[in-house]
Amino acid sequence: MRRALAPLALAAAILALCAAPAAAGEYDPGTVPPEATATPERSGRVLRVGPRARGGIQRAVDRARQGDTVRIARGVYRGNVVIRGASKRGLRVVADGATLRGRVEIRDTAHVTLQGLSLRGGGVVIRDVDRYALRSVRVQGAPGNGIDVRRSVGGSLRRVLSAGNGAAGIALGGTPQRIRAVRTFIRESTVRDNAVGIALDRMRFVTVSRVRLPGNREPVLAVDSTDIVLDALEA
Amino acid sequence: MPRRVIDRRAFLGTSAGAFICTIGGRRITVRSPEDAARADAAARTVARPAQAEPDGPFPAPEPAPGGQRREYWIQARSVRWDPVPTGRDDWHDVPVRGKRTFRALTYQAMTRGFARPLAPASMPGPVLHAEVGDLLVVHFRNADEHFGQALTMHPHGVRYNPDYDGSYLGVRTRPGGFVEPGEEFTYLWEATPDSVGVWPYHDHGPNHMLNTFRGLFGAIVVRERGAKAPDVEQVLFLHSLMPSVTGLRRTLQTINGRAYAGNTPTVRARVGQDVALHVIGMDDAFHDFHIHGHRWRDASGAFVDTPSVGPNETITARFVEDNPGRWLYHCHVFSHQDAGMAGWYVVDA
Repeated sequence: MRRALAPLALAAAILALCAAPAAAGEYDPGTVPPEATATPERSGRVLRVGPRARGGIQRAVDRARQGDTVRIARGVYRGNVVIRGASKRGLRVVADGATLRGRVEIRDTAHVTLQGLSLRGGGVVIRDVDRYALRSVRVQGAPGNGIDVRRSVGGSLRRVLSAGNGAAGIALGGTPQRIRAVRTFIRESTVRDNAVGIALDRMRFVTVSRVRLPGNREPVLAVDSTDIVLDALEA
Repeated sequence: MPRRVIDRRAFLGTSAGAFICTIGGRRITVRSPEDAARADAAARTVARPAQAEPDGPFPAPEPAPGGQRREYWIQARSVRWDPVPTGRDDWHDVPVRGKRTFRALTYQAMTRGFARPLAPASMPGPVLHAEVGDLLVVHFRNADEHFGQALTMHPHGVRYNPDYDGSYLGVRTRPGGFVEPGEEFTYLWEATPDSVGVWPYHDHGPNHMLNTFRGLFGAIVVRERGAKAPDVEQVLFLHSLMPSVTGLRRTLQTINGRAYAGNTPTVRARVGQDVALHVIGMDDAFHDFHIHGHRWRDASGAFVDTPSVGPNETITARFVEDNPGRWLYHCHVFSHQDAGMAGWYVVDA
């Protein structure tokens, strides 16, 4: 009996982290992301930021416009970074060996790419985003979920490491209503040593393929989720 | 809006390899890669038609009693494509010089959930197989990240209701006729008794002509329930790659997206085998399909060895092999044949 109850208690805890602040059992579609019909054109503009730059990564992000690229030089950075709003559509944040001691939040935007960044002690939070890509992102030691996505569609997580986080390594929740299915892919990644590897809460159209999931108390937990495809997972 | 009159120069240009696209009601004459880029830009601005939003009132089809659901996961994506990967014309034993690769659009078979490729993205796309009574369940995903346009799959030969037509029809577009980048749609196509045969499928989105010419086509094979497949079966698409589409300096006449023997499919058979070559036209031209050293009966029962095949038409050369040797097969429009529309047919004793 205790063996049966333990995963349920864990599930409740994970889903509470995923779903807050919506009441338990309610589906809160929230803000439906704008349906972006095409990837915004790249502007060709590159904003560079180094560890000693005034205002850090956030200042470069604030100055970025649609289709810009923010390049983060090698080094250690502190503080949270927020990428928010329509002015950040098509933004690419590309790090070259940089570590952020903080959290990245991506909200109310579309077609954002985060690449090559290591996060220590803070995770990646994504809310109400239409198309997002995490490439070679490493998230370790977040107190809650490592990568925490809600009400967003069209994610592409590739060569991601999410390890040693307090709750789920990757938590996806609340697929917004859309005209057409837009699938989220988690591929060629490692999710290890978390309470739950991958938690799916009221999700649709997710494919998880070639993902290593060692050391998680529960490798994959799906609640009220359909059209989920799990392929070539390694526990 | 006044009707645009096509002048003599435009007409001659069209007849010399250019073509006219109608994209979201806008007519664009494509004579050059720059014109193709204008057509692509126009296609990217076509908005989703209102009727494409809700699901229609049509009941979802089911397999007939005893039939099966045959499920396919197919994505459309662009690839760099080389029509002459060996760099040689093996028939004439000469090199094919000059730039050869271009940005193509292809259908690609995937595993369930689009998790992994089942085969490389290629021209043509995967062959879909069904028997009478089956329901083809085709999960389609527009995975293209280059052209940024709505794409579709439109079938021939099978039965479907308007939701599964896979055609852009302006304001009358049904749900399957407008699948934007990143989106998915599941087509339901029934194999009925009058579906027996080999048929093409192709893009029928807002920019269907250009994107079909780029390589968005494939075949559906429907057999009678329990019918035996031929010992050797090959689908051959006859299709031209024009400079306006490819940006290359010359037109290549291709079979399955490849030009010149040694690059086009080499078909192999043995004496005594039941052989079926299904030949489909997939451009604006008419072709004549010829196999050296062989004859077969057409649908009327007459013996033929060089039947014509028009756009999106299928002819089948089916015979019991009795003539060993190395043979050529080719389009007998001479200018097509010498621009690459030829291949080897090798018969072992």
